[in-house]
Amino acid sequence: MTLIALTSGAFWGRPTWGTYWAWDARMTSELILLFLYLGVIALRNAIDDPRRADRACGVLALTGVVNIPIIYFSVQWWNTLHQGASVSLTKAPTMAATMLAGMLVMIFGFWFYSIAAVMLRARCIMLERERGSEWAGQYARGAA
Amino acid sequence: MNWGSLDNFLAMGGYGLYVWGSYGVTLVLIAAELILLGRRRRNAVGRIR
Repeated sequence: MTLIALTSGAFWGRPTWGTYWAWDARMTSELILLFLYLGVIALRNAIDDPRRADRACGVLALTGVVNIPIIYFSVQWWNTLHQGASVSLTKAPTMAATMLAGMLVMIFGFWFYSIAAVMLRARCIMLERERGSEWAGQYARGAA
Repeated sequence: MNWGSLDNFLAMGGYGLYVWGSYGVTLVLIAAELILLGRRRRNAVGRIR
């Protein structure tokens, strides 16, 4: 169930990509990632029993993980429009200081937003599934 | 900064559509997610009570 929260949260939190399209490796592998997320969401909605849906989505998500290193290394393995990594932990960054500062702020901003969204979603799922329990009742009466 | 006037700032050196377009799409997506999450939470809490 956290897996579902993670995938859907990551899907929504993912920042937008460029306006125009080219079939280069980074974009194509990223598109496959989007389809994987859509596939997980569709699979989840297709199975009525939540436990079975969780298991099926978990398996699909684990298979989808294969795509992550492909996206990451796509700029090295294939000749693409994207440049290689501009920033690394071991070398001095090859970009202007103002751009680097802006990028770091946005990276942390989007990460924290994504984590917050995943957690909010997980709380919803917990309330929905534990609706018969004592603590859920107490919580719901306490919350507006 | 470097823009001088509000018009220049909005034009973003001719790339205004892309810059403000991506801001807009990001804003809409995040707002939509937060609204959906809030509604889902309210429904869940409401069904328990």
